[in-house]
Amino acid sequence: MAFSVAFQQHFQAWMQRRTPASRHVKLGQRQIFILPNRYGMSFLALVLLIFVLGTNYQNNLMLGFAFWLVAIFVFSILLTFQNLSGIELRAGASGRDFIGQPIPHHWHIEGKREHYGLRVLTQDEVIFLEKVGPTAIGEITTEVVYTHRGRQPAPRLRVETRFPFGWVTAWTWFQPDQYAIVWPLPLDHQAIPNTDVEGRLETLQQRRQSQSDLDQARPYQSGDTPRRVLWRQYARRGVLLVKTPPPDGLLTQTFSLHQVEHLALEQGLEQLSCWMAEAFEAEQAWALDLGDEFIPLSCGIEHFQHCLSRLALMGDQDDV
Amino acid sequence: MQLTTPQWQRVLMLLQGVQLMLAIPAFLLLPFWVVIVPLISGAWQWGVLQGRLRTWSVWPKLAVLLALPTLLVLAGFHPTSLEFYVALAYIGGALKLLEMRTYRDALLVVLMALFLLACFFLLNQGIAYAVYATIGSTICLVALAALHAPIGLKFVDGWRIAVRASLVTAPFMIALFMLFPRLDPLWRMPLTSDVARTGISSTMAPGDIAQLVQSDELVFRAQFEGEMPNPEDLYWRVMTLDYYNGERWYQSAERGNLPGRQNLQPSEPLVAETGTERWAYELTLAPTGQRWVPTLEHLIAGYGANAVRTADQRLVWRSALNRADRLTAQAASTVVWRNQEQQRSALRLPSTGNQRTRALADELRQASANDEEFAWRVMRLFAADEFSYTLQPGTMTGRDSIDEFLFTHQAGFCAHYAEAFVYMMRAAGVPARVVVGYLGGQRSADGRYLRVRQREAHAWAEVWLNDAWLRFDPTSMVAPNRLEFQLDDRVVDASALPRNEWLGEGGPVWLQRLYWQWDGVQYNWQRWVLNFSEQDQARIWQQWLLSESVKSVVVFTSFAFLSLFGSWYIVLQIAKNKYKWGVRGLEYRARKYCRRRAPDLADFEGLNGWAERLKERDPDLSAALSSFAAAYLPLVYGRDASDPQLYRSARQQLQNLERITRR
Repeated sequence: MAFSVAFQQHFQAWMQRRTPASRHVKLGQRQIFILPNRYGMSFLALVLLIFVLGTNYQNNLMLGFAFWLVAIFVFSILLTFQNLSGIELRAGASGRDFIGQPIPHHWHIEGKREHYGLRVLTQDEVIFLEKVGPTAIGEITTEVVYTHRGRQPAPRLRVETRFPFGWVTAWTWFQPDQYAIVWPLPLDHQAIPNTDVEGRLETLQQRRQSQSDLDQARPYQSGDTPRRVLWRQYARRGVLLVKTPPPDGLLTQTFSLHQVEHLALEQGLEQLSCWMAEAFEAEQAWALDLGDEFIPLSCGIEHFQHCLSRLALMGDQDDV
Repeated sequence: MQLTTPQWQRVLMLLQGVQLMLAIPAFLLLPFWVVIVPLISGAWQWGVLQGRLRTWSVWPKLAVLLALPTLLVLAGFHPTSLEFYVALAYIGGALKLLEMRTYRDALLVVLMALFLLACFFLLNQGIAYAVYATIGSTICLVALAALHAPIGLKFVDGWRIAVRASLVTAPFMIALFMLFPRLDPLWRMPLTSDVARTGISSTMAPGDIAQLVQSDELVFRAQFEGEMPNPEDLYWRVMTLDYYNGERWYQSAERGNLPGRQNLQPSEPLVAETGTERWAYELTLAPTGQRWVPTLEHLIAGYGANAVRTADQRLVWRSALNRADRLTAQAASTVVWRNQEQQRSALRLPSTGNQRTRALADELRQASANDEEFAWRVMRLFAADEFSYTLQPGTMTGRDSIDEFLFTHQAGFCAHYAEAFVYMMRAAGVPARVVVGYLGGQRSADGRYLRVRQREAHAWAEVWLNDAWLRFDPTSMVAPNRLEFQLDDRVVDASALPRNEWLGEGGPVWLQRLYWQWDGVQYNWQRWVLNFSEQDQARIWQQWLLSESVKSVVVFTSFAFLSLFGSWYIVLQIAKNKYKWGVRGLEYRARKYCRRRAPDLADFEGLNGWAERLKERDPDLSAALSSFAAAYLPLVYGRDASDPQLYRSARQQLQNLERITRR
């Protein structure tokens, strides 16, 4: 057992070297693996039978026929290889969604010549492409359900073909260099969104950021509270501008990592996600404070998705 | 791999095309009604695809398959003939069309088609069928290509792929054909072909020759080294017939009168007299289904792998000739006879019948000084005006058929004259026998070889005189022209013969030339393809390649390659399926059972993950799965990996799981 484990590891490493993650692959000798399959074996058995019959009956024509079929078999190895060689696999875009939801990954398969009978195998389905060529580009979407949040790689795919005669299988593995962003589930862990924490922990940076939000400003009108005046801009330009107050009935809040400090990271993220989901459903606006990153106040689906994505990528080393 | 309905329709269309392609040679080589089977099964399958018919269940199909051999025997096939087995394979392949549900079935249909194309070679080895078989296998390749991309692949493109594959591999096929060593048959093949062979059989009655004369079928070709003998010397001996039972002549053995026995008693071979004319020739024989070999008189030497010399100076094959074969032999004009036997059997006559002939024989013998003179008297008898040569003399049967011929009809053909002659010889106590064979033949346009057809069949006599068997041909007295020309050039009774004006004899010159060219092509086909033998191969190796030991190297390397390949493939298959066996197999089976109740569980998740998921949906299953995982995971990942106790408990949990999920 140890030997097979070691062999497997070695084999996996070898495969990784030959088919690393990439955005674009043009299939050639290095990427294509080719072997006769069981139909090919049964074909060879048939040829052997014809050969034996021809030898027994001393029938030269049967022998010639058997030889011819063997030559065709060997040639079909080349034909099947050629059917796969020259194909270009391109990674496309991946989707974003919660844990447990199917997330689509798009990618393309194209070729300058005509390629027929391609089968794409993902983990649980088989997509059959009759023809890929200059006029027919294959657009494949595979959907994967993830169980962990974060930047999850697209699944490894196997592209294989048995065209033209079905005796030989040529295949390659493709690891598209694309990632899905899996958001943490909105689960309530009973933390309290401590809104007055906001005032105490408002840092200089945040103040500067919120004050420089010029696209939320409008000219001063009498009656505006002086607290909302953008004094720095007045000092610079001499124009009195007032921060637009949030619309009536719209609560503003800032969610922060500090509010969920007492929880574990994952649960904390889930809690934040839950708050944001509630805020989104109630059509409220919010801002998100993630320590070294601050997402300013906004509302709407895109804001929601953006925030969730930042939550999902928490702790991710190589940020996109 | 499953195909959608439109894909299946396309595939089925091409498979019908393949069956149609097979039907044509089946129609010609097997009894015509066998082609009805694929028509029915193809139409049925088409109906199934349209949704109008249901597929057959297992039992009717099994019943038909088991009943098939008996049906074929009842229909007239002989169970030890090649046609029987080929018809069985053909009908079996046609019935496969009824059983097409998956990709694998369609592939099997095409493989069977290729197998049948090969099997038909056993029944027919002409050039026409060889060309047809190559086209047919290209069609099979097109069907295979379309099976793998039914709708995306246009027919033209598929055809192009198949033709390219066929043509590119042709040189390799020729190279293998010429260089791959021919092995000896692995076991005795008792199967022979059913086709009734026309031609000289092991017995003769006069009517047989008359029938043969109407056939243009080629019997053999003879290529001479140097000069060809004159037409009147071209006596090809096929059989000597010793025993006459009053109706037919038979070859006999020394003991008893069993028809058909060969005379394999050893005797001295003939030796050519010094200074006499000699001829060396090579025979290429079409399959006759018989054991005789036509050899030119007088045979002094014969070389052939399977031929033996008989006591009456002929050659016979060791077993009936069922495929074309070759032979070289030499003949000489005059020979020295030494120690020849067999006179006694050459004297027997039936005790009764033909009194007038016997009387005449006595009379002529009395008038002669010795046996030789007597023989010539009888010959001159036939030269009289009353006797004529005709192929349709009317029937002469019964006990006194020879009397009838000599005294009433006085017209007949070679067999009658030979018969009568031998009868009279024997009646007077002179040993004589009937010889059946061929006389003459068609010379090729370039004079290099001879074509002998059935219509050249002839019968004459041999008489034991002066310690030698001398040829006496009564026909030379009656129709001397017969010896010089072919039968249909000069025939006394022209109305009897079907004239063959087109080929070779009458007709325009260009047509004649075409005829001989086609004959040359067929001869070369037979010589270089069908009869490509080990000697030819050895010559190629010696002339063009280095040595004969290279042959064994070729055999060795090809078998080594094959076995390496095969074992590698087996190892790969084992490795691929290892997860189903041993300890890992427990997990495989556990997952299989869980999927019965919850088919949507994903593969990449662990067992505990599955248990979590199922906690609300299916608590029993979840609990069972958890306990299994608790027992199994330490077995694989823990430190006590080979603890049999753990293994047993894991298996118990697995059985529990199985029981729960059983429906």
